[in-house]
Amino acid sequence: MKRLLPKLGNTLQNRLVVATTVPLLVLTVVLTSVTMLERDKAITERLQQSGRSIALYLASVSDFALYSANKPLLNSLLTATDRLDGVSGVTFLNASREVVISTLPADHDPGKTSEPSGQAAERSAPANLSTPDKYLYFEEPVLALDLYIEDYGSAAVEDDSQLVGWVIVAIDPAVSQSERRAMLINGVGLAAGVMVMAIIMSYLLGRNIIGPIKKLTNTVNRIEGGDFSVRAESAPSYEFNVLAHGINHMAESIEENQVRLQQEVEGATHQLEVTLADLQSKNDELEIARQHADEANAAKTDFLARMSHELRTPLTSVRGFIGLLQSADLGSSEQQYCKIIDQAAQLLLQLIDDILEFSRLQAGAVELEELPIDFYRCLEDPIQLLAPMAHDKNLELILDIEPDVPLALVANSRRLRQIIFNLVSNSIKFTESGWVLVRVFLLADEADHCRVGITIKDTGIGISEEQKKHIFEAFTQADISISRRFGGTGLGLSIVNGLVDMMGGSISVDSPEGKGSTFKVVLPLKKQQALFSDQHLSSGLQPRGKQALNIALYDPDQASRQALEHLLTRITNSVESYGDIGALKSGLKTTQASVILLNGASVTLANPRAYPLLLEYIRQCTDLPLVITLPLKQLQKSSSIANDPSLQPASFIGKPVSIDSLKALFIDADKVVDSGTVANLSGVNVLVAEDNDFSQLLIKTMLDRAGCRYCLVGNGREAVEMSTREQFDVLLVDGHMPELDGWEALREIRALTNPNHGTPAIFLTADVLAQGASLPAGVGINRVMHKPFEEADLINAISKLAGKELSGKAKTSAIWQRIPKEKFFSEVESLLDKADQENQRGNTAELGEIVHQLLGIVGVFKVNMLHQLSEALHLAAKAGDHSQVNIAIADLSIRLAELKREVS
Amino acid sequence: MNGFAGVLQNMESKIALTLVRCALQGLILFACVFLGDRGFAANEVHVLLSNDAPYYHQVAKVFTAQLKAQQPATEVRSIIMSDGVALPEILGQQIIAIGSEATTEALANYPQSDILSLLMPMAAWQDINKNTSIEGRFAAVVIDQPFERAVLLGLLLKPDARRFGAVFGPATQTTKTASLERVSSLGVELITASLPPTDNPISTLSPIINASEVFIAVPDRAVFNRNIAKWILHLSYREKIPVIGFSASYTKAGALASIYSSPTDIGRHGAELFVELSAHASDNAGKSWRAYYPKYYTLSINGDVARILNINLPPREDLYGMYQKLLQAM
Repeated sequence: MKRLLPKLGNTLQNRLVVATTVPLLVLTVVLTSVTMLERDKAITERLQQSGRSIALYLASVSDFALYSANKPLLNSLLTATDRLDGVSGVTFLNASREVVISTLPADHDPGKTSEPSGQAAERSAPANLSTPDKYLYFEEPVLALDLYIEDYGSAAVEDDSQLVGWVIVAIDPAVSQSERRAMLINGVGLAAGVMVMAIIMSYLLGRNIIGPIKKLTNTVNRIEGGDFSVRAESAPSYEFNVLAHGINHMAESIEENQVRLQQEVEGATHQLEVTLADLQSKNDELEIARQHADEANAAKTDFLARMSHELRTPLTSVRGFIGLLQSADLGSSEQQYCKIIDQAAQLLLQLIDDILEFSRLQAGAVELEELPIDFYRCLEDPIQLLAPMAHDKNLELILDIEPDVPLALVANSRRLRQIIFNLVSNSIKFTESGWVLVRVFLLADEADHCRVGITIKDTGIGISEEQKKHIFEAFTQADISISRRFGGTGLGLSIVNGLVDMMGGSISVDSPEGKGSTFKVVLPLKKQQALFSDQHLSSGLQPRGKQALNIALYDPDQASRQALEHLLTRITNSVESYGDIGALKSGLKTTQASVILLNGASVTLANPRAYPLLLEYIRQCTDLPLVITLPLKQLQKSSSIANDPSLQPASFIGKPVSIDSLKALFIDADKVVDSGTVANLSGVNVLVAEDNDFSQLLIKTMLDRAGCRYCLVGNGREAVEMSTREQFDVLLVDGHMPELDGWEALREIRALTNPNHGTPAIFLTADVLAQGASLPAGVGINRVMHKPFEEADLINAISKLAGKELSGKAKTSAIWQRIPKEKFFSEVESLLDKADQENQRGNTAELGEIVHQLLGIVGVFKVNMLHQLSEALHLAAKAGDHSQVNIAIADLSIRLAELKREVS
Repeated sequence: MNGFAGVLQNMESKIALTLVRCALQGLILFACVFLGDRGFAANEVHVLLSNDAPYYHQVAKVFTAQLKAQQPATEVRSIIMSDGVALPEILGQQIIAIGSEATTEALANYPQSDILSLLMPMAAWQDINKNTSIEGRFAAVVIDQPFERAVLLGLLLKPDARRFGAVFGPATQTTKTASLERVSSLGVELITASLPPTDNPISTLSPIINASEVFIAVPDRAVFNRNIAKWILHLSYREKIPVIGFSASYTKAGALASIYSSPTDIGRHGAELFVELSAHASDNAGKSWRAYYPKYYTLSINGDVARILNINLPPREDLYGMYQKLLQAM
């Protein structure tokens, strides 16, 4: 059936036939059934009515015959009745229900089984008797009705009937069977006839309707096939005529449109061909323009390289000679002039560096060399450098590195520091009061890489929504007034954005205006396969005195307390943290701490006068050693407190607290702080190719100080010639030289015939776009050093390339281990004198060197107070704050004298 | 058919009017001669109706009208009996009881009054007279017709008939002999039989009707009449024997003709009789106080039956005239 139905319904005509026939079929069947049932019912009723009527008739006419038992008369009635269809017999009973006469067979005589006469008399209503046999019986009482023949009297109210007997009529239902059969045949035949007629009419009707549709469909198909000349024929009905007319009209329209479109396409094709020819011509022009642009770009790059070189070269000379000049015996005024010149030169250099850095980023010339780094130091170093700047503005600078942040990573250390430096300095610049919080946290940690988030949050002036849109654009600051007020080129954040982008990270800023700003940097960083040993320094290291290192931390400021907790977690597992003095007092009663670390910065910044009282209070509670963190300025101002005997034992460390200062304070190990001592390069032979006389003099001076041997030439040609005559350990080649520049010279030296073809080379250039990879390839190692360079960097680079170990630490360490206490004191005093002299001279570089040496000596002997004061001196010297340097030197001298007295 | 009935009715009315006119003239003369000094005109007459049936009212109405015409001074008061209502005390001495029930009640309640009963069967009169003794006088105008009137009507309609059948019931057994005597002079053979109420009437009726040329239906008790009337008509119809009935209903039921007295006839005869009896107030023996067959009668003819029986009927007025002549001739 399911298969048949789709077949029936696959054509419109079949569907039409089905749609008209099926309901008609159902209707016909239903109507025929209902009609036949009704007719059957009518036949039955008619049969019963007939039987009842015959019985009634006989009852009414037989009263006399039955009353008089007149059998001939009854017989005549029977004879007349027998002629009626269906009457199978009649029985007359008298009033006693005795059969008077009957034409029924004896075995069908109902009078024999009828009730007695007494009961029969009560039966007055007509009734039909259904007996088990095949007949239907209808029984009626025969009543003799009296006549009203009295004109007067009350006869009407009296009973006027008299039962004289019964008549029973037997009707054979079979008489209706033939009628039923005929009715059935007629009904079914009529229904079938109607159905056949309906199907035929449906078919014919469908054909009449479908025929024109088929023709129209064929016409549409031919039109669809592209034959627009075909036209629909007229149909017999109005609707189809309208449809045919519409199709014809549509075909005409399509044909017209086709012709028109074809013409338009041809026109458009022609126009397209012309346009293509024009485009080809334009492309040719563009190609030429692109070549011109490339050439212009190359020229620009060359110009930038030359300009950077040409700008930085004299600046390098200026700064170098200023350094040398400051080393000379000058008066204080001259020293001050030198300092101003040096600061101006530094500023100019920074400006040039920013511009060139931005240009490099714009040109895509920056390549990130990824090396194993100490992530902690990459973050800590810029913070340490910027701390004095923050403290000068009474800002709290907090570095909070969460404990789960891995430290042994692979990245470009310089660029990472640059990002942190730029962002933090930016925040400090735009923050007048409050704090700057650098928070570093782990976002995702995988086996070989991780995603680190760095937020720099401040309480500064904030950035408006409009300003945020352009915050990372070059040469953009919040507005001109800000530029005037805070200075800067507006390139810092743009450079950061470029660097972060290069590192595959992202940077965003969230800053409700007036409520500070938060810069968030997310960086994907590779992990080192060999982990740094000091990732968690507490393991394997013993605290001084071989006691367990338990630290109680008190810091009322939540952010800095959390940062210190994270830092302390890296050197010990036992840190008790207190946020208010009451809790500290309670905690000290049961504490296992061996030392109390007191972050005094927030206390003193908030209320300096309360600070001594706090210390005194704590000392009254406990005699445990106190370690107090303070900014350098506060450290020096608090020297009277520090020297208070009632507070002892107590130590002071500068802020921001570095991991080195903590290690020096708490870890009893035979280590010295990196002194920064210039390595001994004796025995190292260096070829120096530099055309600039001042640069030659600077390099010569540096190399002399390092104690190495060198050969100076003025251009590339001479360098090549010299390289053929003598074997050097390191080649130091300037990029821009007359006759033969450094690049060409190095390329010729890398020729296999040259004895120095494998000698490592340092390519000196002020061109920030230059990279080592662009240098001539060969067996020798190439390294690029941008001008201006630091003396230490140069010497370190030479020592590394020459295969010389950085022996400074080891030698220094070995020497100092053998120095007796008296020697130590005399050496420190000597260094302090030198530092004082250098400070008076304004010789920052020498001062820095001396301070580095001092830090190393003090670090070796682990004299906490001296070490912290030396840290303060180091930071002050690094910041170039001569007044602070003087204070720090004075504090160190006093503390040294006290120490000598204690030792003696 | 209707035309013929109308003619008969007109004829009947004219005969009645003539008789009434003669009777009135006689009564007036009689009253002037004999009752002038008795002052009956000032009497009060109470008419007691058996019930509220129209024919009782018709009798009372005609009686009152007729009496007023003859005795304008007589005050007529009508009382209609009803179930459960006691009859009032009647001060007057003359009571006209219409119907058997009224007669019975009047006799029972006013035994000292003179009671004239109208519209009651002869059999009932005989029963009352037999079983009741009263101080007052008692007369009646019955509804029965003299047997000979029916025979004469049969002869009028079927002049060649000589065998007249009749079946007497239990109530008419007492009048059977007298009836037979009165028709013996008519020269017809009267074939009769008695029919007990319990017998099958067919077996009794059938031979009588078969042997008769005209069958006279004798009025007996009402139930008896109804029981046999159907079979009489049935058998006579089968044998084509004309039946002379005793009521208009009989004629309608299938009798060829009937002779009977209508309420008008009875009321009129009653009033005349009352005047007459009042005139014989001194008849203490009460000879005048007896049952009277109605003086006035009405003939009814069933034209359909006559046509079936092939009997040609004369016009109605002629029929009355001819019938009157026969009566006078007898």
